[in-house]
Amino acid sequence: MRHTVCAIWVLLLFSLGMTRFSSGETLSISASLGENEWKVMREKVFPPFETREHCRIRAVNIEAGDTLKKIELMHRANRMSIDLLLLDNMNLAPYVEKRLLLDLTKYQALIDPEVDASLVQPLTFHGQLMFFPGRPNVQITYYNTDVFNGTNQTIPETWDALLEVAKQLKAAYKVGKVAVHGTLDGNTTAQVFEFITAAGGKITTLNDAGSIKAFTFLQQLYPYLSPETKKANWNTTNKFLSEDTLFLARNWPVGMQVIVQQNQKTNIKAYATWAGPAGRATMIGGDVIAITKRSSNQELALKFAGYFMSREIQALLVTELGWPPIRSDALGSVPEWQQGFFKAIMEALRYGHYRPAIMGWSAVDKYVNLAFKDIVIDGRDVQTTLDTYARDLQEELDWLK
Amino acid sequence: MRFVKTYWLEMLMVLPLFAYIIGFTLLPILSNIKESFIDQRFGRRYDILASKIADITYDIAHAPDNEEKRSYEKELAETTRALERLQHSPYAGLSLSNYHKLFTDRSFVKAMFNTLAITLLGLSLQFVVAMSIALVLSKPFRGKGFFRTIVLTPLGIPTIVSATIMTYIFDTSGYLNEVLSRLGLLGEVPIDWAQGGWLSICMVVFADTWKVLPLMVLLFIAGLEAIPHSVHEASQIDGSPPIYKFFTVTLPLMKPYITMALILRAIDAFRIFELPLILAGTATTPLISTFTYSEYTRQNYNLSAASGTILTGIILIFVFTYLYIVERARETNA
Repeated sequence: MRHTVCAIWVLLLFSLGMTRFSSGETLSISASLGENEWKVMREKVFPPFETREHCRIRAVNIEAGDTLKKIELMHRANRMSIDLLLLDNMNLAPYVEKRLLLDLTKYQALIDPEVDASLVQPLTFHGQLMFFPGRPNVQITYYNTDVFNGTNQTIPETWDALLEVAKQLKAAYKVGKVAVHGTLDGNTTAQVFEFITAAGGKITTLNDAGSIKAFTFLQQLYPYLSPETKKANWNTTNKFLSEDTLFLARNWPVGMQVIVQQNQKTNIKAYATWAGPAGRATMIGGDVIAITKRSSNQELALKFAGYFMSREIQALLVTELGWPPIRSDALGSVPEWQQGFFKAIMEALRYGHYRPAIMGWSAVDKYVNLAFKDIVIDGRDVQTTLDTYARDLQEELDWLK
Repeated sequence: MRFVKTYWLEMLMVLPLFAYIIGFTLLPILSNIKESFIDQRFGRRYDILASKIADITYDIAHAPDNEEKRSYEKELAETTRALERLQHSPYAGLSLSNYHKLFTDRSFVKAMFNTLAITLLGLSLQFVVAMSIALVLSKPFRGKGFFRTIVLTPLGIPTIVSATIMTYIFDTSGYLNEVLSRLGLLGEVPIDWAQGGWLSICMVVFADTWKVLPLMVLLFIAGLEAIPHSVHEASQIDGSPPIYKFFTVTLPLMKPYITMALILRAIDAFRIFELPLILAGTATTPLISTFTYSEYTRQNYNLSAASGTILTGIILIFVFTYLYIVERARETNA
């Protein structure tokens, strides 16, 4: 019996030791993507690179909210098992401040001249290039053409028109048919950012004239919105639009794959956005490429970054996923059914604004959502509430400087 | 020493379990409790500076040349000074500030109320329904096997899937509103089940009951089948009516099983997470678990730790109650 137990222990230790030596050239890539996006990556993007570089790609899906903590833990333990990250551009500063990523300044030449320079500029922190552009992303406004057919309703181009449409739809269907993302998380913050910017405000100030206008408008709009607003996020909005629970809502382009391709709702189309008092404004989201500082495969990771930014792959991502490209020479291969959506995306990008690259975006996120809940959902006074939260937010941001 | 020599194999075999419990349960809980007493503002800044210092130290040790090494050393000196300043800031040290913040936060207070309401309402409903089903299933009748299978089915469905199934029922355009409308019980406006308040609490309780009922039913069936036939026969001979027999014979004899079922379920009910998150969202119906998750995703780790510690505390109260009541009763009986 004792010999058997000893033998099992020896075998266990031996097999653990072997796994460290048998890994070979494997590039580990982490991203937070949808199922259909991973499918394209696994079937069309990774295989040519694996063949070319004689390596294997290990894809890991880490949810955006968990990535920082996981990478940090691996970094601290000096056991980095992720080589390349496709990071949501929402919260990049902590990765830089915690020195988790490779300084890419000396590899800037990997960025082709065809890559849009405006996408590269915000990726520089303290004078160092820390990220490569991966894909810009922007929300578009989905609408149901059975309702918005130009006779019954026309798509709203301004805030006033949006309020009117929301009122009319609620009167006609007895329940709101327009929604904004109201899940009180990053989804809500992204849409509030657009409203505040379209009113000429700054989300990090929170109680300037633009922010007050935006929250006042949202408070007026809320009673006419769909009850599903509270559950509407980047994912559920697609379901609500497909089921005709919603007729008008803003969401990310990934929605067109779900709504049109999966759910066969060809009556759903999209346009860029509506205009606020200071014009149209959208938020540029999307992913950037980062290479972990303690990766043992940095050379291979850099090659993959170059490959991902290449014309060939960017064009493939346009065709397969409708992702807007980072370069000007990767257009023209959009399938017919996607062309309307793609036009809306490109137009929405023209009104795009970047979120400020600050430490403490999570504090902005928290206070924006608290303000949304108090003002928009619970109907509290706009000015007083925003003054309180703006003071608290400023204190937290100053503390992190 | 003699003990070690005699029982070395047994100790070796128990070692992985001990290592697992200490490494994966005890230490994370203790570390979480410690984090909860560190002010969120201090915690976030400290986290960055400590990370930075650790990394610069690593870089110094691996610097390829002296010039780079000097530049790292300069950076290290600056960061160390910043950390020293932080250590003397008003937010430094252990404090109850996160707990103070939580108990003055309306969302958290609401989350505590919702959690308690869902637990109490859920347990009461689940007790009554599960006991009724168990009483039916403990009697012999045609098709009992089929009925028992149907009752136990939700047990095999993952919670996330049951939550999605429930959205088809409770969406504003879901089945329930459709049925109510066809029965003429609904006005022109469909019910918004996720509007918050008691309506949303009831929705979550219903969904939770659907999911966990089989476990309660199984425990109650086990209890009912453990009651000796002679007891039933004796009460029948005495001519007790069924309701009287239930309250004076069955229920008292079922007490250990009921206590066990209720406490186990209470522990589970406090941890309820996916169902309220998907069905009601966090906007109107926050729970302690969903609140903890929201703060974690916003990288407010210390605040999230405090919220998690409160939840752990509540659960521990029930665990110790279980150990105290059930285990003590078992020892007394033995």
